[in-house]
Amino acid sequence: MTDAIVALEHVSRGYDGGRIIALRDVTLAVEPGEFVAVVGPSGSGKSTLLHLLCGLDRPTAGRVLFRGTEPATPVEWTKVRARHIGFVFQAFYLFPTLTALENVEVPMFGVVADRTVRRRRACDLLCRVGLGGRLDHRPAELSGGERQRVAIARSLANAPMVIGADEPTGNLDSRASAEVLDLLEDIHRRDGTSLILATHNREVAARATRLVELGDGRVVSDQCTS
Amino acid sequence: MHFVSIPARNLSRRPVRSILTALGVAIAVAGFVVLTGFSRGMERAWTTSLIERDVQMTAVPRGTVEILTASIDESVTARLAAVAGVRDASAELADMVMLPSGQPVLVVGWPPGSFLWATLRLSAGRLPAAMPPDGVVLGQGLAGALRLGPGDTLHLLGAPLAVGAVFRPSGVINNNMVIVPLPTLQRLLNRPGKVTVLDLRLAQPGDPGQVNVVRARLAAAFPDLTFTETRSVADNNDILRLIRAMAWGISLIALAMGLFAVLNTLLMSVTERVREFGVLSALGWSPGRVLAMVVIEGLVLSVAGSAAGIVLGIGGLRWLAQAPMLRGIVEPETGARLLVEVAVVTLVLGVAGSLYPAARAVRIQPVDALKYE
Repeated sequence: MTDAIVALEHVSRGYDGGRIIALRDVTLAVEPGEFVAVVGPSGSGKSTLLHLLCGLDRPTAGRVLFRGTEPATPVEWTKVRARHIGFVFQAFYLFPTLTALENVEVPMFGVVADRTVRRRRACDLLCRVGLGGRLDHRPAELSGGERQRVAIARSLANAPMVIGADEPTGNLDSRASAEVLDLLEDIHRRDGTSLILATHNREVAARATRLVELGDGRVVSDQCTS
Repeated sequence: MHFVSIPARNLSRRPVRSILTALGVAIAVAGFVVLTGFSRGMERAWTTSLIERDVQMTAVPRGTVEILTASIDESVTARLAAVAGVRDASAELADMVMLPSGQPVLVVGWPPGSFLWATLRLSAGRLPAAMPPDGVVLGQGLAGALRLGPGDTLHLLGAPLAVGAVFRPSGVINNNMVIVPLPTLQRLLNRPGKVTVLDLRLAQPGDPGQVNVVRARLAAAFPDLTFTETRSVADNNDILRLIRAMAWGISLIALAMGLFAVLNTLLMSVTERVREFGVLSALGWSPGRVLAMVVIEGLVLSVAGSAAGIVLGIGGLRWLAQAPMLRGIVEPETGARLLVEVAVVTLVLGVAGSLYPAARAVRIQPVDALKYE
């Protein structure tokens, strides 16, 4: 466990005063450079698991560790997310009033002080995801696939150690889905960034190097696929 | 991209709402500018009118609220002048009267031998050694408005009076004033032997210690009178104090409405943007940065509103100063002090109006955003 970037120790997550249990006593560690796909049917707890691993949610029992230690407060988790964890949402969640370039700059506030550096890095990242010609376009002027690529570039803004992606292809057609998955795979392979991907799509999950299957809030299977 | 441009863009998302909110702030600030500038202008006008006449102290009956209705026996003047430390004393009868044209003007009566006559800087005509009973002197502003000059006739309280001279004062009250020999005005107002205020010149006006000694001496000798230094006249005048208090009271109500306009707009905005705040938190924005963003949104609204409010307020003040009923009484005060106060008001409106919405935004967690998926 000590080498893990993020880990759950006997983690449970309940809602509505414990009447609904999304995760039950889950222990899981993600090592550096791993590409983990979390699969399972709807309601199995895969999004909850992903949110907990990326520090977006707190468990009702157990511990969530980042690089072996448990951030004590929400503010500490915020710092961890800012510098070490990127996240890609299914619905992109770009800021509609900002351009693609500015959207990618957003996570850098508070991390990169120099405005010129922020701008240059955002520009580089958008070029990397193939949107060098769309820097000044607002989200409404981009296709779904392009928006998700902006979101991926945004998740890379502070060179994170791990990227969480919750159904990143859920709102995309098959061609755009393939492009986004190629991009995520490329980032994982070339940067060594750990990638945790929650999906109900087995074809998408097949690209991962490790498959974690959930059922009724528990880990049903956890196996390497490569 | 500057950090500030993010909150600015957020406001541009709902331009009508943002503009209406800024307009609410503008009206509140304009109200503050008009009311405060109006009351200060009145205070300054009264003080200037006395300083210009080289009067260092005034005396009115104890308990006087409205100076124009005060009544003092004219004979007190000579006894005042005899007090050690008093260089000179002059009686003065003042009242607001309506000219045949319908314009209200301040008319004052000075005794023929008063030192006050010598303080006038004439721009036309000349003062005879002793003003004739039917002679008047006009302030330059009033003379210009009435198109009267030396040799013309002014009808005052039904009596035709000959304009002997026109004087050029710096204060707005004196500029629109009619000066009449005291006996004439006492006759016209039917107040024989009575005056409203006594003006004193002191032997050592520059020595505060000596001024206090003389005032104590005067207070002891004339217990029925209140003696006030010229520069404190505005502070001690109950009418001006009342106007000042009302101006502040109404301004505070207007500003509170401006504050609630900002608060309401930002609260709606935060409520509509729960997901966005959650995403910002997910991206690693600290609570302080989220708070700063919302507070800046409030400040942008209040700064834009205040800028428009200053323009509206100054325009309103100028319009008021030219209104027939106020011309000659109010000189709008729009100096640096008022602008500094508006800046403070702007800051308070922006910050106070946004703190609660900002606190709500800070409490939004990433998982709140994810509920929308």
